[in-house]
Amino acid sequence: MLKQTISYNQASAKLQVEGLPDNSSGHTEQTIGIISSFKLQLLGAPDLEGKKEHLVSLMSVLLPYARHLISGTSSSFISPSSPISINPLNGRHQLILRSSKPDIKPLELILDHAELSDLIRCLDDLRTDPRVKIQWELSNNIRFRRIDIPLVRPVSKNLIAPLIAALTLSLSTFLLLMIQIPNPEESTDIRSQDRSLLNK
Amino acid sequence: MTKPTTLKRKGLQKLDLLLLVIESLDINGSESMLVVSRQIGIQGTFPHRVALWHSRCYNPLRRSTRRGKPSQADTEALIKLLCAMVERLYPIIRQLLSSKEPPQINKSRWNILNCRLKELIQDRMNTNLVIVQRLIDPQNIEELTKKLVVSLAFSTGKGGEKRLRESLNDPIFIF
Repeated sequence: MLKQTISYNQASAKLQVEGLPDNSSGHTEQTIGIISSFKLQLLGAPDLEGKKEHLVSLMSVLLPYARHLISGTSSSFISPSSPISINPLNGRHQLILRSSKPDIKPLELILDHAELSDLIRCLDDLRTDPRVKIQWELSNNIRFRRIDIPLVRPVSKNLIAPLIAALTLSLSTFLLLMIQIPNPEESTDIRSQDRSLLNK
Repeated sequence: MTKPTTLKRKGLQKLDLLLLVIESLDINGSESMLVVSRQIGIQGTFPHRVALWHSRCYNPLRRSTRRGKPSQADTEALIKLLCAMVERLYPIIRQLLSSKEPPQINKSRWNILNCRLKELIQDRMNTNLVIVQRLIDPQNIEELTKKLVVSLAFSTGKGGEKRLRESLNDPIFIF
């Protein structure tokens, strides 16, 4: 059985995946059903190598991060087993990769939007490649609720309009209450007194 | 299989603004959109410029806005068209976002893009609306353009369309 190698190229990123077809699932020879290793080459960064678990961790961090970026927000992401994390850093992205081996310092990569976009395109190509028959265990449905998105405008600015409205309403109500309305009973009494005086 | 998309006000606003950025990046953008719509097989939805303009007029910020909501087919076609245009313009978008480009040249590129986008917004949108005034404010236009270009960059590729579709359903319009 021959090892299959598939690569995905972008301007600043190259992802190479090696693996074997899973014969028990009836895969053909041109497909990959079991990933044995991957190699990621980023322009101006050392080559990264790892196994399927590392690739899944990378995807589980970078794809939700990209989803946040497309919505105009950015937050930090850490993979569940914590070997990979990504944080926004002065308009760039700080990718931190921690080795599972002891005494090895974490590798820190700073990517700009273009490099990150290239990397995401490589990962998307891999995920959607029909030659790679792997069920990626990634959460697909990311829908933001209002609470998930940090407000761009400060709360104080958002509250100005309703505060002015509430103040105007309470002030006008107070002023209206201050106006004395003549009591209808008193007015009828006065009228009857006037009539009695006239009769006299 | 993708779910049919229905967009709310915020989504329609963002989609139209992203298409405006495409027009700012590509001088002949409206003509290119028609060519691309033929290439990706949605010429039935947008057979001519007027049909494309009509479906974009559902944006409530437009000068000549339409009531109601676009059909699911129209929305899907607009999203597909946007993604196809982004794919076509990806090298330019990448160049804009790359820190490896000469800073002076990139700065002038951004300035040109900001000016074009501002002119297009002033031309197409209802400038009496506070939100439109906020968008074209000199202090905000740079940030707006940058965010829209970043959104476009991450709308490319095979997973880009899905990401974009989800982001258009965000409850908040982030500008």
